[in-house]
Amino acid sequence: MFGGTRWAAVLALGIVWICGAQAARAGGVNVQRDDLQRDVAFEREPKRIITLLPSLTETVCALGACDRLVATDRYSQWPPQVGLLPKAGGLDDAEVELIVALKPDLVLLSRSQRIGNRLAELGITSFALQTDRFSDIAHTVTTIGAILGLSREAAQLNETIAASVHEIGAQALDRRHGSRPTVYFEVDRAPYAAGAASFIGELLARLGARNIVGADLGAFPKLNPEYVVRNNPDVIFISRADAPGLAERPGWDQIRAVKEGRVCSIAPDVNDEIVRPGPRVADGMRAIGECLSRLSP
Amino acid sequence: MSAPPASLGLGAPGVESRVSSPMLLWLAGCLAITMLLTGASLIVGTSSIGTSVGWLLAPDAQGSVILWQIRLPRTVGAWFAGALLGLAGAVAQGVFRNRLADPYLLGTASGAALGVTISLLAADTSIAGLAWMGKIGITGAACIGACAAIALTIMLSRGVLQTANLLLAGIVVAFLLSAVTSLLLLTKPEIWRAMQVFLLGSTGYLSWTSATLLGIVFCVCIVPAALLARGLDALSLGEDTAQSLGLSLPMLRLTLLGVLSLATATAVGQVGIVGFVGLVAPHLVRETVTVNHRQLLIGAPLCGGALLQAADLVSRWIIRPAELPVGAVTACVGGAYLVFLLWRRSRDE
Amino acid sequence: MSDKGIANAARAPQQAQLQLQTEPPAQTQAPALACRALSVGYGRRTVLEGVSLDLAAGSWTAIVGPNGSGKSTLLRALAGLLPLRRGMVSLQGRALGSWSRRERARRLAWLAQSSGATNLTASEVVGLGRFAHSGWLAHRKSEDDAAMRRAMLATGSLSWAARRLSTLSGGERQRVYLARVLAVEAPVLLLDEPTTHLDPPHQEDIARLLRSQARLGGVCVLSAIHDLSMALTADRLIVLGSDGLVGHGTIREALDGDWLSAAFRTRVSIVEHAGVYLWRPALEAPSL
Repeated sequence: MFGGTRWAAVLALGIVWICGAQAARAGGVNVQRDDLQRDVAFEREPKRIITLLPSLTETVCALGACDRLVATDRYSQWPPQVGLLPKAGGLDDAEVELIVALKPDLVLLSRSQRIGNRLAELGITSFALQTDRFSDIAHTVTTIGAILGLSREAAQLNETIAASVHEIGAQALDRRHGSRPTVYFEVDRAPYAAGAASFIGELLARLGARNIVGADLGAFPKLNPEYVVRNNPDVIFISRADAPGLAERPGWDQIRAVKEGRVCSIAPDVNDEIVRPGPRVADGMRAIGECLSRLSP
Repeated sequence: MSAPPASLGLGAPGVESRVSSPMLLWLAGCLAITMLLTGASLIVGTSSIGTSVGWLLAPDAQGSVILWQIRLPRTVGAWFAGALLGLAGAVAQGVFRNRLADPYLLGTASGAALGVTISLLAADTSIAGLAWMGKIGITGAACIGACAAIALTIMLSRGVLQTANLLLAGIVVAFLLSAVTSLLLLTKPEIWRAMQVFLLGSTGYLSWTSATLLGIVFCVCIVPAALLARGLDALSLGEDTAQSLGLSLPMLRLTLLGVLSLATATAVGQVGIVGFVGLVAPHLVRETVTVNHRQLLIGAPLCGGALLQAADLVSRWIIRPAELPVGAVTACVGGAYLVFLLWRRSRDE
Repeated sequence: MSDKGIANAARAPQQAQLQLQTEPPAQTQAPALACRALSVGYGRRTVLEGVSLDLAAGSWTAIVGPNGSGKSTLLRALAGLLPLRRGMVSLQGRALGSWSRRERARRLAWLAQSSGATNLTASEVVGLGRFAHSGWLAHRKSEDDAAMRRAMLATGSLSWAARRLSTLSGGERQRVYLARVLAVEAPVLLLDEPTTHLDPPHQEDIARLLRSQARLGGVCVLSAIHDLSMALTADRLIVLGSDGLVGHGTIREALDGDWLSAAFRTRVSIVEHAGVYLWRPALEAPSL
């Protein structure tokens, strides 16, 4: 008889201990530092989230927390189900009233969006994340995972992204039999180029291409058109709208890429993928890589 | 200018004319500076390869493309664009009898910006828009926009007879079209960067076609302007006086405004909105030499051409191989000059 | 030559003619300038109504009247610078509008009350007076040069021919403007306050100049002058009051009819002294 009570007591204690441990862990406050160097404390996992930047929307959904979103910005298009959510404005003109009315636990935005201060005054938690470079993608994923209590999923996502990026890069190089063509990537007709220091430049580097605009010129320098003629790139990337006018630019018909028709014109929607770093970076990279391999000399 | 100076209305009868020699000196000086700048433009480029004279005289295939198809048309085009702006500024200051008038006071800048915005939007939105944009290009769109703005201004002021009405209408049109442009830009913020480039001016893509077009328009504009210059002199004495001297004010204004519009619209179409050249060139000519409008309408284009050439050179050289917008350079120089004028004024008081 | 010297040189030949002539020369042909039933105004306001005048060649007529009575308006209407509500103006027998712009400019010269700011040299301003003759291209013939020289000599402005207007004083500038008007060598001269800014000796010179233009040159001179004594040196007077035209005739007629008092609505006393009419300011208490 005494033996049975002892075992019951030990079992009860065990249960209490396990529950207590869980409680203790749940009761610990989750503190994360955002890209504005603010320490934000999360007492509970956020269940109602508003994102004001497409790449943040995509990250949240890629982590499997799409159902926690209550609203996004008007430019978030992917995945398709976010199209049904209410839209809280654009990148610079977020609608404060709508946001407040939805009573979110967390608002995710970029560093340059000034609405963060306004929301803080109204008692709404906001968290700033800036994703400019390739390395920022992993950081954003990890941080959002930590906030949402999805750290394992975050680590998995990062691994997947890294693996596909690596694979695409290797495949691309392989398909070109190891050749490394020189590339000019035009972001705007001025001309503004994507240099080696930009995100696009990093993607191109991983695809094994050589950018005629080095890192010393900055991320998006406005070039003298003569520079492109002089450096005679093998392949040119340009927006679809500007592609027809390439040969008319003075002296550009002498460029190898123009003479031999090695011009990749980028449709506007693909442009969005490439310009804003996010979890779909591999897709953007695949698109560039395909064209690069196809047109490479 | 083949007639002797006396027939240009210079110099009093029987009094030694001392005015023509400074003017001739000025003309010679401008031409010399232009030659110098042209030469410098051929040498300055994106890297140090182009700086040796030997390379200049015997360039390789790519080098000769760069020299003759990029650098030379660019500097020649810049000169003609600057000359057009200088002429337009001098005409504007004469017709409106205001030293602070510049070529854009009929709303041309805002009209051109709106034209470019619409064409960029159309290209991004639809395939038809893209095709249409391909046909006329940004230069065509800017030109059309500028002309539309001028037409709107003249309509609003009910004709060209009242300069005060014209000025007011020009301001209204400028504001209106700017507002419309801003609204359109809000719908697609991605074209902001392209718009900024246009708004700050760029001589980057001036080809021989552009340079020739600018040259032809310049010749077409300067002839009537130089012929009507004496009318502007008479106008400076007062409208009543000018009329009593036998001047037809409507004809004078209409023709000169036509010259102003054509010159500004063409220049804006090719190089974007370059400020201060049209304002500063006539001032510089007035400060150093001239008195009457014939000298002004010939000296201002020469000065403007050299100014824009120099600005183009600086914009290419200062952060090579990257490039500054040429309008930013002219704004700095022009702004500095105006500050100098203010300082000199306050010192004289 | 200093301008004093020029003035003296200009003064000498006319010394002999400095008597008062109250009769204008007989009219043998159509009046140089005339208007019938003239009615002009600005916007809704009518300034003058039903004015009919005949101005003969070879006489100097002065327009006098209180401020706002329409002196400048009348001049501008006669010069064709103001659209008429009613009535017509004729120049040398033909309607003003029937002359071509250039012909009219050669026959009718106008001096504004104030000129715009300009940075031209004096000789260029005077040269503009030959605009109707030499045209847009400013191809000057010797007669243009001669006319300019005569005009600048007569006004004593030859010595600063090459100077810019902005460097001249108000009086010097006024004489350049007068030279510009004279350079036109038109048979009709309309001048709005020609003696503005001038000091008394130069005002005399101008008065003398206008008389000789009229008497010797056969020019029809019409000027608006607010200085009564100066106006009384002319041949004829046009007196405008606040209700319109008070009278038009010789000085004698004007004094006999006491037009000036009627126009100014106050006792204006004119005295004759040494062959010249002078306005005597009434310093004691006033009125009719």
